[in-house]
Amino acid sequence: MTRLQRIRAFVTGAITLYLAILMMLAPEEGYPVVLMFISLGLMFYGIKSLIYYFTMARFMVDGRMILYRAIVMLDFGYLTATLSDIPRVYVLIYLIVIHAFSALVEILRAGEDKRYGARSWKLKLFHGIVNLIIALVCIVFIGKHNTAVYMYSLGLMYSAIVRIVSAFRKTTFIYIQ
Amino acid sequence: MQEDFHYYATYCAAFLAGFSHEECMDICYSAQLVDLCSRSFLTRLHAPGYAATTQLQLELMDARTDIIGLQDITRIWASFHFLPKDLYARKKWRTKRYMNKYRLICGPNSELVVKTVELAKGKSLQHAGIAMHVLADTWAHMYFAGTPSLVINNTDGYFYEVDGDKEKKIVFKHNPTQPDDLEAGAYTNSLYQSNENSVMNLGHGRAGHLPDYSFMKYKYLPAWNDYEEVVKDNPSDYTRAFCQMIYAMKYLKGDIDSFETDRYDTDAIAPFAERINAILRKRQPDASADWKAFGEELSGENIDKFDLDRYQDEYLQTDKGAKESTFLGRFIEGAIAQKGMVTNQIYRSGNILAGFSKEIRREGGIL
Amino acid sequence: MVSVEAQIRKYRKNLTIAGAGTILFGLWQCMKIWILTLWNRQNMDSYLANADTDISSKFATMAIMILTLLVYSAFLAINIFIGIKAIKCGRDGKSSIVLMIAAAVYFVVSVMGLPYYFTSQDEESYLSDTSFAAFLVELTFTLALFEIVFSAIKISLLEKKKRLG
Repeated sequence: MTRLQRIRAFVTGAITLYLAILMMLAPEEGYPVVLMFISLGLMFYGIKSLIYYFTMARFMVDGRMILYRAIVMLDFGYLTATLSDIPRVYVLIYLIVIHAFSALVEILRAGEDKRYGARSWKLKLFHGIVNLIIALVCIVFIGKHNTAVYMYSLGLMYSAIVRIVSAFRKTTFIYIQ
Repeated sequence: MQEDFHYYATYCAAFLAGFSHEECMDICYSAQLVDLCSRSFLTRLHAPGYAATTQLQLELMDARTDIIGLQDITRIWASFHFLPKDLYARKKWRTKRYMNKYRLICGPNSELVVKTVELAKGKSLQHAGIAMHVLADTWAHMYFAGTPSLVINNTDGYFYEVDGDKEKKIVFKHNPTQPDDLEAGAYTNSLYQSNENSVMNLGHGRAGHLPDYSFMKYKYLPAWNDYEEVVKDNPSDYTRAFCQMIYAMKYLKGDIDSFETDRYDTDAIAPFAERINAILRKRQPDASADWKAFGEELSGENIDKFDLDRYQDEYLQTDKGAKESTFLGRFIEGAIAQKGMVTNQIYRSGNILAGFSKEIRREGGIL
Repeated sequence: MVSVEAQIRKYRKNLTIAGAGTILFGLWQCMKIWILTLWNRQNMDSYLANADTDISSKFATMAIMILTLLVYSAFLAINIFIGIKAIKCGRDGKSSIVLMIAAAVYFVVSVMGLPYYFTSQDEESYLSDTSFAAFLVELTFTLALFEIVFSAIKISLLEKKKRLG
């Protein structure tokens, strides 16, 4: 990782962490922000796919499909942004599905890691448990008004911390002559 | 390539190059070990993880595909299994981002394979084995890149087995637990993943095991070749790989002064050409038994079955300061040297897909 | 120099993908209209309340919704027809005059509709959320139709060239 990449990873992680904490402290104001993040995420995915098409996929056999998909995703993201009153339960369902699926995958992989004797199984198990807790809390408190904001913020905080940690990972490979 | 070629065929090539039975065993064991020396394996031995020469299925599934993870994957696969053919290739109207991946496409007779073989000169037999694995794979794995890339490694439904004038459509299924059905022409490949950096798009996953079957002659459309089809003639390629290995090992032994590309020791295999051709063209998923029989006939010795645990006790029970003199210690040293050289060459070409590389001069061992 | 075979392959694949893209865009446009229509019923109600009509607001809303959905379903049917035909032609390598004509006409209609994304719209209209993204969708869809026509013609010409040697 270059120094610039490390700085960027750290700064992005720090900003995300700060925003997540702010949202938790002001959940009512935080809900439109959650919707904005979701729609921005979709639009960003569309834009990223468009850039990918023009820089890479257009040279690939069957690459045109990526362009079509990118355009539709971009429009979908914009459409989500224009719908200002999505009921909170839909956002919660989305969070439950995402986190429950991630938890299942991480726990299964932790089990396989342990069977192979690799030491990374503890970290994977931890990731799985964190995701499972978030999903369960979403289900238990589905009736509460601000659950969507709190859980979305928790997920953001977790990914922010992981990004900050990755900024300090060793990357240079030493070539010894 | 698989164990049949990396272990048994490499033994045969080493013997034809003039090595003794024991030396052949060391070389072929090391060549096969490249496909099994994963981070998990090294962790169990308390050996340096950065010497890994492969990633197991499980490790790949767990591998991060952020920039660091991708560099780690590329370092391993480009260094040992998909040695790049031309790090300075040019193609019109392509972006730098695209060319970084395009330049990692594997192919035989590259500058890097010369450097790989030269790097092993004067070093251990284990290092020679690593070089032979890398050399052999440049033939089997050509047209694919050792980095996750949809735009390079993807294929589509245009896959035909070629048998003389006849062509038979190859059907792929995505069930890794089910073995390939050679008679029905039904094979397994990795699932299509639209994410550019998905590990499903690493190497020849989208072509399944076809590149590793010595009998297979087939044609397909690589994602990078502007809709031109390529014909992959494995029997011919594997024969050249075998002859080039003999030539390379004669160089390593000191019988030849230099190693050059496009040179094949066909004289060495002339008395056995028919036998080798029959082994390569026999329609079977694993030719180990045939290569083993051939090798034992050549040397008159028994070729032990490959055993991953064979040298582990020696390594574990040796003191830290003396580990370099063990079998696995020498293998690890060779692996680190190979990985470092390839990473450095990729980095020097202006491509950071294998990460950054620092050159330092140091006396003494790595362990 | 790209071989004739490779060019034929390329245009056949382009035809197949453009066909799939046409179906995708048709489905997306239909889905979008459904979402917008159902989500903006209150806007429609207020629009009709201000409009100069004595028809019951509730029935008028329903009628306009149904009509809109029917019109877009008709467009979807055309998209699916052209898309399936294109995919079939791409796979078989055979041209279809019906496909070329249908795609060409639809292409011309699409091109004629593009400027309307930039003309000013009635502020009361519940379809006023036209955006640059929607324009991009329409533009890409138009290009897909052009691709169908162009690829079909190229395939015919290249096959003829191949036959003549």
